[in-house]
Amino acid sequence: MILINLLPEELRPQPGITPKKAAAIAAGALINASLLAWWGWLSIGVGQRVDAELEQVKEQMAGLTPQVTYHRGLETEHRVYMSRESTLDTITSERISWTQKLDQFVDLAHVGSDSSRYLVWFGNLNVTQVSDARRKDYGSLRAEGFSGTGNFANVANFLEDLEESHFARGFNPPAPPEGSQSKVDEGLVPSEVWSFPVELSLKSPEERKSDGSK
Amino acid sequence: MDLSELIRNKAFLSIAGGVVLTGFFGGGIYFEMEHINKIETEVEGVRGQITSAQTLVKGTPDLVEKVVIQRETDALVAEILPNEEDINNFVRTLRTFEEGSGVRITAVKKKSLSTREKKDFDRVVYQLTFEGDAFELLSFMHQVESDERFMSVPAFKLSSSRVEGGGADRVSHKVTLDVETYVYEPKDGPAAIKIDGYDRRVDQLATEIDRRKSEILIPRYEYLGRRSRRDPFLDPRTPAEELIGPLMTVEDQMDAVAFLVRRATELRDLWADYSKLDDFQARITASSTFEEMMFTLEEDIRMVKVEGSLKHMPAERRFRAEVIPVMDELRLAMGESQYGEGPSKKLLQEASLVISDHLAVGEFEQALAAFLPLESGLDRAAEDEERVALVTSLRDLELRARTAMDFDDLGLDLGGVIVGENSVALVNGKSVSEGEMVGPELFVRSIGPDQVEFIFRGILLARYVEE
Repeated sequence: MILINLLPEELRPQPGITPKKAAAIAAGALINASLLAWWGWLSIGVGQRVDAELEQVKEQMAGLTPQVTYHRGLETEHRVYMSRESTLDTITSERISWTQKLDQFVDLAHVGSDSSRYLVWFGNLNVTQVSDARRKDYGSLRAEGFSGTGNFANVANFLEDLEESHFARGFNPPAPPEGSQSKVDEGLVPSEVWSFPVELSLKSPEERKSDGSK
Repeated sequence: MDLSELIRNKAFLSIAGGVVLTGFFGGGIYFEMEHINKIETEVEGVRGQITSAQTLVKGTPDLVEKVVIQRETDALVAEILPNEEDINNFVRTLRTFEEGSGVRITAVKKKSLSTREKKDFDRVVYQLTFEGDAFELLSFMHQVESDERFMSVPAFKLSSSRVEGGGADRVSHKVTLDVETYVYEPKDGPAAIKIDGYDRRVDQLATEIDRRKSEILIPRYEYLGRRSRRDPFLDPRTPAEELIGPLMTVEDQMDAVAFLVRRATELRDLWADYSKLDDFQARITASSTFEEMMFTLEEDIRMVKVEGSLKHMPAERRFRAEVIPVMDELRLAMGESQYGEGPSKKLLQEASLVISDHLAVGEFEQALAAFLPLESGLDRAAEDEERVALVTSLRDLELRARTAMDFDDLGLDLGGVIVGENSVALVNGKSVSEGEMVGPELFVRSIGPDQVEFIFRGILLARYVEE
């Protein structure tokens, strides 16, 4: 027998959920449930842990901050002092004791005349100390020397003694001896005089220090 | 199928709802992960800061030490470098230096400087013009360079000159000298951090602070003055008209003075050796040599002075610097020592014993040799009550020695003796009896079987009869 449902389409009873549909619904529900669980784990588990961790390190940092501030303050003070010391070192390292140098120069002239190696005196003395590292100019000592003898070798004796003396430390070696005979004065003994220049240039502060001339 | 149909479709609604829900959950997860990542990054950042801070803080104790040392040495820097007030007093300081050195300042000028920034240090340079000799300049410069406040001389010029005045030449070189200093006025820096237990730390770091301070302190040169040296900025030659009379050449004068210097030095060394000697015989020998050298040197010095033979200035200066002071020192040292008061009591006692021993064995020459070095000091020793008896005794021994030697010199020939009621001796071929005079101041005292006793100059002396 054939049964014919004459009810309109919308009033006819719907067919039951097919296995495919049921599987699709279950899969959807599972995915969403998993996502919800993941979200929950992230939010409650991981999120709170990292928040607590952040709080903890912030507290730790807060504990260290005063010590860091103290350290930074000391560092600033240290830098200021270092800068002053560096300036002072520069000032003092450039200094030459000219009392010592002139005293040694006087000694040199005096000792030579006592030993008859030479009898020298000077018409002037000009000392300048500068600090021009770019031009390698650190100053000089210039003097107009006189040697009371007819023998020019005495000038060489003086310059030789000068070069080997403590006085010469901190100076570059003098130029080779040169000079000219001045007018002969019979009214004085010795009557013959040679005049000669003394020119010495200063070494750099570092070289002077290593020379032990300070 | 239009939209209303779709909405009525339950399946569609279910699928759409599921998708929306999935999207919502996914979004939630995404944002949560973003949040977690952000927090974790922040945590890492803070951890990094903590590590840096911990490393930094680990160095704090060392830094504290450095700052403590620096604060303490900075106080020294402030003491060394002048401040504004010191600069204002600079002219007064110069006046003190002028008085102390003997220079005559004629101008003081503050130099204008090109900007040479030294931060907390302001460079100040004064240019001074003054007159004086080389040693006055040295003395002035020494005071400048050794002042408790840092000052240096970056430049100076000297022009030699001699000024006629008051009958005597006055040396007056023209000197221009720059005096440089740095005024220390610390600019506004950071406030000093409070360091707990600062004083205690200063005590603990005292050694290090002292070491650093000694590094900062500028070594000062010890200038010992003129020391009889000549001014090298003066012509040392001698005017020819002064070289009259018994003249020595310049070389001869230099040689003569060098010889005197050598002898004076030898004498000084000998005195030093003599002063260390304890042994009697060694002292006797040394003092004998010393006195002989002293006498001859003093005589030569006297001759040089009387004859005025040193006309050459370096020779004359060396004579005054290296001979005269040595002799003055020696005389002073001798006066201060027992030597100036004559031989000591101990020395006299020892000498007395030695001379007596020599006399006992007939060593008259040795006895006299031991006495002679003491002779010159005996008069001074005799002024001392404690030593007068010893001096008398020594002189008696000396007399005995001399008499015995003179007795030997008589060369008496003792031929033989006849001993009996009237004993007779054969002296110099003549027979003499007891009490008989043999020669001037020489009597026969007694005649024995093996010796004849004589009285010579009041002293009893015996001569053995040769077999």
